[in-house]
Amino acid sequence: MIRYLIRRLLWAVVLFIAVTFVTYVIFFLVPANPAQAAAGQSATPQKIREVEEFLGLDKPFYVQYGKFLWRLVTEGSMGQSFQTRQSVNGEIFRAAPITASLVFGAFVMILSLAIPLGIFSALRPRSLLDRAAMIYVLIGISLPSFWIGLILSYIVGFKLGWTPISGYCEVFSVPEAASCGGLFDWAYHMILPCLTLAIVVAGSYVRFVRAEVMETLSQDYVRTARAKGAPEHTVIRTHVLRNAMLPVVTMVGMDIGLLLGGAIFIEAVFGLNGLGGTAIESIGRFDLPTLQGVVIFGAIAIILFSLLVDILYAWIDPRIRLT
Amino acid sequence: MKGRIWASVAMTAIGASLLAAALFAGTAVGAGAAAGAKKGGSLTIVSRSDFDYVDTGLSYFNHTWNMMSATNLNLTYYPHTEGPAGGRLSGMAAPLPKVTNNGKTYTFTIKKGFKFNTGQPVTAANYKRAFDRGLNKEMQSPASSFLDDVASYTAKGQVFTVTLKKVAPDFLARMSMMFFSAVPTDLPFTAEGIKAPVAAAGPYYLKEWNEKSSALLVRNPNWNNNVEPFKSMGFANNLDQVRWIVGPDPATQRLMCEKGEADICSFPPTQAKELSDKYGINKQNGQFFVKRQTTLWYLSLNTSRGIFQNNIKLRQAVNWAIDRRFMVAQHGYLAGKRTDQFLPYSMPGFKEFDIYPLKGPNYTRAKSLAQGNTRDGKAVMYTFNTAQGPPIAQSVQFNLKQIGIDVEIKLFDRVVQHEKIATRGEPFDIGLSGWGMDYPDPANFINVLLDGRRIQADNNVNESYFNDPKFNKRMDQAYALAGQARLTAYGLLDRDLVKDAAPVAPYISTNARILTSTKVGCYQYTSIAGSLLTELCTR
Repeated sequence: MIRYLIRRLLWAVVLFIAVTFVTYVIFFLVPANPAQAAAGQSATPQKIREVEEFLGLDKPFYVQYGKFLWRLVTEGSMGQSFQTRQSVNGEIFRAAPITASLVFGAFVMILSLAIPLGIFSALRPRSLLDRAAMIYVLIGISLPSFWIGLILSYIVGFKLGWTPISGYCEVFSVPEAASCGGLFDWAYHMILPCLTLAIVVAGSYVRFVRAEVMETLSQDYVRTARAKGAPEHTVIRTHVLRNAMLPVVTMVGMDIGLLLGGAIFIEAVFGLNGLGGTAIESIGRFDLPTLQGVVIFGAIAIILFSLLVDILYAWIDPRIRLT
Repeated sequence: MKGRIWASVAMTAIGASLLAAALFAGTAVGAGAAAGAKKGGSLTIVSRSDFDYVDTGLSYFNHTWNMMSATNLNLTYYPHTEGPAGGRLSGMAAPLPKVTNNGKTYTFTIKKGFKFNTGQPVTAANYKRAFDRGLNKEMQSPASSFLDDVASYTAKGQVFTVTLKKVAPDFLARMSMMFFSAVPTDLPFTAEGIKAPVAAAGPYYLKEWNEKSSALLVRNPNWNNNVEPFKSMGFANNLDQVRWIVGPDPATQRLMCEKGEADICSFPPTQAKELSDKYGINKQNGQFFVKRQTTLWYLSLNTSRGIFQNNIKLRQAVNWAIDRRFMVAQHGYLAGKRTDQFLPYSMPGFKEFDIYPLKGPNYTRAKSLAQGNTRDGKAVMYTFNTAQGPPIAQSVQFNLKQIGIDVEIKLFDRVVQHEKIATRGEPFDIGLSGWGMDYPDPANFINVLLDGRRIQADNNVNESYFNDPKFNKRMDQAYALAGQARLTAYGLLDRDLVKDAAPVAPYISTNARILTSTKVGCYQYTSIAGSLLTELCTR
């Protein structure tokens, strides 16, 4: 187990360097000078050079990249934003909980909906429930997330007034400027955004669970269990689910990791200033350090969740050993 | 005789009406101060993007300056009222200064009585600190480029003296910029900028700023509208608080305002017609407002190379050939007014001339100017790839095809497009450009954007690369004037530049379009300050 973890961590470092290096290269290939954007319109060449020096942009990109890595490893700092000059760490730590609220809240809804629905669809193929589920899957996969968000926001939030239209509320340390705060407000404001993400993502999970359960149901050991007289709920819970959920665990781990990089459209519709919005804004303003910060956070999230998934795999399926 | 008596009576009545109207205009400093405006309460402004900084030495965003217009105490300001009074530069913390030394030395005597929300009195040293921070290298402040011509400045008691290197009649207008408001004398030099609470000497101060989330403006407890020196400024200060919420997109903002979750909002430009039909425009106690801005969009015709170099007739032909009606429509309903002049309509000094067609192209005239002057008949147009960029480029391409010019369109991200056009030597012929004023003086348009001596290797704003010594000299002459003579000179310069040199093809002078909730009263807007926060009230 320890050897396995060490090997995974080493691979994670290699992956991390590759991802951050590629981001740096792409950024430098774009024909725009962040120092010009930061210096303001009609700044003189002298002023722009001063800003370049101030931001460290006067060095070759490999020097800048080396400095960035060194600072990250030795100080844990992702640098300062070119635009706001604030610590990128602070910006990421501010935005991450918002995105995490959205993603984890949505996944509670997704798994609560997708697993039972997928199982019932698999157990009763071509029934009314199964067909309804497949129609939902088609809609959920086909419709753009921002459209679903806008429609829900309009109907549920605006017309019916059942939920707020947008916004995020802090759970702890509620600022005076905020129009809401506390656990209840936080949850109340997250209903629509989480539901939107859940509708979009759950569709593929329903289909996947259905397919896995149907395949598992046709296995010999399931037939044997039934032949031995095991109650149906025992067959499903002990023999079918445990095997069918393995790939689902992988999917969940990967999707959570990916979405933690920012569910951009949903954050935009509901005014959630999470990592997605931060990434979009930093791209538009040529703010490399902030963009790198989001990339790093996303990469770490994917790596960590992949590792977690592998460990969970070994726990769920005793045949799998971490080597 | 009878007719002459009746004529006299009529003239007297007209005169009396005009006098009454003038009295109202003169004293209506903020309709929010009018009797009946409700005192107290709070309004919420929702914005897609956050303040850039809350540090006056660093901030350069329009909506941050809008917030600061309620918190800052500058040396000069434009009164918070719509109409002509709102465009008249006035003394704020000090009366308009004594100007000596052949127009190069300004001596401000700060009025006693102003205090920061912390209780510290405002003195000349607070303005000196603002200058110090603007010029400090560690701050990297955008203010430094507006202090290039300052030779020296001193503060002694309530007296703040600034000496310039040369005469600059726009100096007082520059002093109304947020960079130069009073700041505490111990405010640090910090490139990251200060955070809230921000000590301020204006009617309000920023109590809280939660980045990318919310902000809160509350009353300065040391501001008293009932006594001098505050009373003569005429701020209504009806509201107890103004709150900002950051993040929602325009479509969501509209819903928030209509539901009452927010009070001042934006909306998708495509919904402007629907909103104007629903709420009317600029109605008393209305919810939809359309107000003039001091922003211009235009085509920059690159005079330094290619088809437009030394080719005035072809540049004039472009101005005759483009379809301004169509181009303005691409900005959306009520987005602005068609123009053929370089100064926006609300810029002091603007004078309307009939130069080029506004209702549609005049190909006959355009062709006659273009004939024999199209050279290889090819032009490259750089535009941005969002919003109005592509359709305007297509419109220009079609219009110029009619006069024998094939336009190749190149689309870029807005920031990239701007940088390319701003780089001398970039191989483009036409650029889609826009400019909003830094302060309301015509030099901030004409001298900044068309003086060829300012052209540098990159980061240019003179995107036509126009450099005509005759016009440069006229710009210098106009710049040296003050008062009405200055405005008249710039008005004529505007006309002559567009008509006789045509380095640009202006097409829209923009409007601001604002949606409010049913809670908002006393809404006013100026192109200088934006929504007048000091005049707002609740209904």
